[in-house]
Amino acid sequence: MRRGLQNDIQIWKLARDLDLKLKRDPVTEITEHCVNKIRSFIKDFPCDTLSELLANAETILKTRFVEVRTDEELRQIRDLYFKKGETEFALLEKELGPGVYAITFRRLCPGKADREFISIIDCRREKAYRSYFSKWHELAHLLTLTDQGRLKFCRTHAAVNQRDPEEVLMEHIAGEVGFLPDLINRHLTGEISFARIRQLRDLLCPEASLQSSIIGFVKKWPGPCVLIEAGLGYKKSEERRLAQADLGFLERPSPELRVLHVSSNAMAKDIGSLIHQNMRVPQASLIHNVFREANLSEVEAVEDLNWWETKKEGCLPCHPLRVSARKNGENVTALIIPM
Amino acid sequence: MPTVGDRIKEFRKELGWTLDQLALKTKLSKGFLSDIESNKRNCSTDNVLKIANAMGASLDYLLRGEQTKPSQRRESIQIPSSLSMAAEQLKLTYSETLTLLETYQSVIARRSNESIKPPTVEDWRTLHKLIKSVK
Repeated sequence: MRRGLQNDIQIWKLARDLDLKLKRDPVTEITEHCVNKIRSFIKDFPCDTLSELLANAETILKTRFVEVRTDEELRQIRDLYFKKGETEFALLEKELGPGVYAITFRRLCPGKADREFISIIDCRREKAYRSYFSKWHELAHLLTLTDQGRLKFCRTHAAVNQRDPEEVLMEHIAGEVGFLPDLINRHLTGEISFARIRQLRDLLCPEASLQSSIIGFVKKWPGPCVLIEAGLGYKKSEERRLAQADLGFLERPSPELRVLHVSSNAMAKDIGSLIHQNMRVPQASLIHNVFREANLSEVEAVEDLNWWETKKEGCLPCHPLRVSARKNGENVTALIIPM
Repeated sequence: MPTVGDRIKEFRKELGWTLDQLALKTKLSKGFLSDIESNKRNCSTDNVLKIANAMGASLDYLLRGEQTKPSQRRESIQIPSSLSMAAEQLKLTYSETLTLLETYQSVIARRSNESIKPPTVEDWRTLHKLIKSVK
């Protein structure tokens, strides 16, 4: 993700507009700029939890989060603010389409004690699980707010069906500041597990979904950990065959349990790079059991890296692993911890 | 000259909150808040932040009485050609055209999975229609 962003002209422009001295790549510099701003908030207003930090950052960055939980609530909020002269709220229903999780407006007619911005967080249906990240994403925009002209009119080159590079960068920044090491590091002790992550989530950011907490805490964990999402999928060649099978020319291939997404923290880069996206999950792995059996919600076992194999290189090298797996909807989320 | 306490009290009343409600939301004692509102005690910036967090108020306003200025029209206004065309089709005045532009530009951030495309003539027409429909 970051490699592509580093060369994106829109990201370079943002770094330039923020007046950053580019000693390194713009993604690193912009992220550090945001992290430093958040650190200055903590210095001015000390806090212990991520939830407190989020509330403080919301106020300091002059926005107000308004959560929308139903379609009816959305219409009520639209009408309420529109009546106050905020014509931008006419856009609300149209803007908060299926792929949009939050939106921040600059208020056109603020009251005397009102903040400059208002951020509508879409918590309707499944979007509610993303509210914690959505809030940090909107704050990331405010942390990098420069001249509005650049934001609006430099988006013309963004290809259709491709995420806006600035949006991708904001997600990255949200991940960094939403699980800021300054507040979480002293809690990251002992062995990583889903139970431990749940405990940390309850203590530091109860609003965050378990899935976003897993992603956030794994990334910052001081010991090695690979996070995978496994689900039914096809090999590339099978996907091509599948397209043909739809036309009725060939036999339809069967999907297998594969790695749909993989990420590893800095300490597990070596092993993380061996397990790659689309790799078949070993039959002997408990990830299969969790996937198959409805009543197995969360389990743990010791396995070995050499159970995993690639078509080109065969079995991966031997290395004992502690594997924790839990059901996540139709898929399985697993922590793979080298021992 | 209104004080921090005066502004807190004024905004609390505007929200229709009691001191008990504010105490509950800020985790500060009712007595302490009452003393602040009646200017018997000073309020630290930490506590003003807690109060601003709870009430959704501007920190600058509570601390210094600085009000958020309405979004101001820029000195040099760049009207996109698609908006010019839409304005012509809809027979909008210059002021109405600027309102459309300001409304569009007030969106400063959105978390989205989709790419953001520049607005087309049709988008401006839709925006105009939306504003009229909510009115």
